[in-house]
Amino acid sequence: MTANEGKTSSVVISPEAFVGMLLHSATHGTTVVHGVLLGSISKDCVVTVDEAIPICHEEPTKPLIDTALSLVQAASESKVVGWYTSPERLQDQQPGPAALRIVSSLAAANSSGDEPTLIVLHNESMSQLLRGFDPATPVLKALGKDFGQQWLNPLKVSITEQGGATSAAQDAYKQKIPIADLVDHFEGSSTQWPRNMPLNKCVEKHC
Amino acid sequence: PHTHPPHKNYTMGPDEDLDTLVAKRDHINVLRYIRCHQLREPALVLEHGKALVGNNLNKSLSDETVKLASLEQMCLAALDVQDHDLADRCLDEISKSVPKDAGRFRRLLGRCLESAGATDDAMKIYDDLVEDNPANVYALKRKYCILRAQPGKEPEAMEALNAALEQNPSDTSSWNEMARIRLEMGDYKGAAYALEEVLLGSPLDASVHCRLAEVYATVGGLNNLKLARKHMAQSLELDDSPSNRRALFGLVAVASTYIEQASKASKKEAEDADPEVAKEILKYGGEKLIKMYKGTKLFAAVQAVVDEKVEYSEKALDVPELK
Repeated sequence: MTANEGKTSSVVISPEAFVGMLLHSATHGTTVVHGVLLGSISKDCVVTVDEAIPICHEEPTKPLIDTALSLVQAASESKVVGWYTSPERLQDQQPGPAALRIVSSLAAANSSGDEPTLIVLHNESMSQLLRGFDPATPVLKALGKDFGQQWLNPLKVSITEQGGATSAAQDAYKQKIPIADLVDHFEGSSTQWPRNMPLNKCVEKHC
Repeated sequence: PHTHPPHKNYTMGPDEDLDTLVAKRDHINVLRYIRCHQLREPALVLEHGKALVGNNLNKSLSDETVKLASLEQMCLAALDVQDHDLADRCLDEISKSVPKDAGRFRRLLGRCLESAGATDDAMKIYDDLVEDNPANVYALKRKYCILRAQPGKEPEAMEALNAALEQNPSDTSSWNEMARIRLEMGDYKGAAYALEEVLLGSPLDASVHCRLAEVYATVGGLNNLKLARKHMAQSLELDDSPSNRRALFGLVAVASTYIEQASKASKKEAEDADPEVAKEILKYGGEKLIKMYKGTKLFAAVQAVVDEKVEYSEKALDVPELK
């Protein structure tokens, strides 16, 4: 296997990305959410997710994703390393066909052969965590490409400063910090996209 | 502050906006406003509802029908925040004035059962209502909702929604829902079909044109991309305010994708293609975007995106088949 090609070995998520994904999903409890992951991929195939940029709280379409990826890449120096989604229904734990298609096309568009990762949030666990309880199952999972060319292979995932990240998420949720995704920006010209200053300040406080 | 996009089809709502009504503690009109605009604001409903009918729900009002409508609205709001105790008390209070076999009461009871997880019992009520009246679209829609809430029941849910549409083929909200479930399943052709039906009911709704355009562009192919261009342009003609910038970005995106597809098209397909028009559309959209974002935080990013797409389109059109 050459460097940066082939299967991802593990995924490391920063506190900002962790809190960002959870709060985006919690803000839109009745719909699916989608967003893009930025970060870096090491030579030994560890994907580090530094930021999670929220895109929409509806089923995405191709023009929306094209616009989102173009804007995110123009507004940031970091590399796109994957996609995240949170299913619409509480008990649903699988990514929908859209998320699978998106991460697959991210891989196809990737000239370096790097493998993007798909993060899927677990709504029930997340809801427990945000309300201050200790969830029995992990709040999210990271998926890589499997032998069937689908993104259904569960990867080892860790959250940097997990304790602090958890308190930050709980604090942000309690404070009801508004989360603006790209669609919110389109509709109301929120200035907190792609970076959410109040949210980042909250994370800094705890980590 | 409540910043809701203006609801396009409401009738008979109070004149003032919601924030004013809330500040004035005008409970009846807060509840009316929320009902008319079909907003989902359970906390507000419960706060103002309780102020209106009392915490014990038994304050009598001069107009009995207003009280019953408020109790019904509060019951649904209580379900939304999972306060089943309050929902039951609302049902009890309502049943003091309304017979338990009344259709509207049974509908509300059905909703309470759904929320409590007793979906079989709820289904039974809706099945009974449909048996009494096969055109009871409300009951048919609730059956669809019960199925839709369960992962893995998409085919059954689709069947239930089709049953509702059979009874009421021009019901825009059902077609809207059909579009949503098709999108969720990744059936973009089906979603486009459903959105065309929505468009029949609301031909002047800019957001429907924009959504339809996005779905056509997702299905792909030169013909669909041309339709996408047309509907994005129509959306912008209906609404060229900054709150429709999604359609402006959409115009640039679909024009760009059109050019990309045209440059890869077979000789025959290229005969009917008009990529030069797409290029002009792309430039037009790009200029409007740059103007709109001037002086804002995202200006540099937007400019970079537009420049990249315009540059790409110049290169892509420099292809023998398109000369």
